[in-house]
Amino acid sequence: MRCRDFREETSRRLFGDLDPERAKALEAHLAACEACRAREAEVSGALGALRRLEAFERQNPVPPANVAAILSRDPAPRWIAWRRIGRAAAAVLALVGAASLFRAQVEARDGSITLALSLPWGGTRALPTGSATVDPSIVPLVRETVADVLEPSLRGVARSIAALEARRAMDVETLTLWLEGRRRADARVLTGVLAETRRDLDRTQEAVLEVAGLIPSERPGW
Amino acid sequence: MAEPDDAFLLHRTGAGDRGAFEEFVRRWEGPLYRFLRRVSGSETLALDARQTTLIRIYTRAGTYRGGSVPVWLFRTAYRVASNLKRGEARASLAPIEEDGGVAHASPPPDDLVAQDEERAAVRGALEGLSPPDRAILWLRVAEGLSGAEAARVLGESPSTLRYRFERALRRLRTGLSRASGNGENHAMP
Repeated sequence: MRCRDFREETSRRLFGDLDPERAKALEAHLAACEACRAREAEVSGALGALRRLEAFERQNPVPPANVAAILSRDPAPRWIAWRRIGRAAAAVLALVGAASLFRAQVEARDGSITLALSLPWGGTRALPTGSATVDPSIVPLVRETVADVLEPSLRGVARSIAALEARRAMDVETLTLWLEGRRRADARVLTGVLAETRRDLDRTQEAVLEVAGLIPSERPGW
Repeated sequence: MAEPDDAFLLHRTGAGDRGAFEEFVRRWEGPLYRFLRRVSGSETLALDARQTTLIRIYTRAGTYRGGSVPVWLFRTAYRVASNLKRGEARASLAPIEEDGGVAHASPPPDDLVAQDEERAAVRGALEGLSPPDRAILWLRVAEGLSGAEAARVLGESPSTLRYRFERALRRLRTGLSRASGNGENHAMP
């Protein structure tokens, strides 16, 4: 291997992020290569000087913090905890609320079936089912089908909207603190959650577009 | 008997134990001050930022549910300091304070002079770095945070931070050799 192949290893070792096997390979290379040894010595020389400064400054007295002034503050743990619970509650309400916003309606009149969505901003809108005259006996079957197919997808839309709202409400700082509060939550978890949020956003957008496609007009606020 | 750990003190603080918080402050006021002093480059700002940081920690201790205490602490401090710094810059009140080190009452021996010179050179070189770079160096070297922890404090990805860390060290090194005059360094072979 050439010297440049060990740049990554050198930097990882400085950062405390090199696995033992690669560390061994690096050691072997440094033992053999004067140029790399010199490069590394430069950096570790700077590190050493910084360490000596730190050790020196550690001995200097530090002005004490004004603890009394801090303790006179109202600790707000309850409030913050409530705010968090409030957010969760808001998310649940939004979920339930949004689910009830779009309610599928199945009307059977005179042997003709119409499907409709009740809209969040009032009124209903017929879904493009085409019109068919059917035997009244299959109405229950249609109702079931609607319940099986349409309702879950509407609930999916509602859930996505709720997730979107909840996530938007939770700024990244709070999210990070919240994650840190969990046992063993780490950067990977955070990355995962952010990726999930992004996915949720994408799905919500798709779902919203889909619904919007069903409802061609009257889309205030969207 | 083992000393109660930081997480325990925070839990106690959250439960309303003021004594636990006083102990927590006693432990962390030094490291926090030194970190903030180094990052902000100003003693006044460091003291302000430390007080604000500790107030935040105190009022939010009830929300602590585990996780690395130093990461939480230094991240809060870093944000507070950068906000204060921004405010200060806006008010055009950014005085550059000279870091005078420690004055000697009597002429010190030669090796002490050499050490003083090195420290002055390191301080000078640090002043030439950006606050985030100073923060990375200090967290890794003085506080012994792992690269991943330091990355969480600064809100950067570990790989970005690793690159910045090495770059900061090289700049520090360049600054040091410039400060020593002709660029020679007796630590080098």
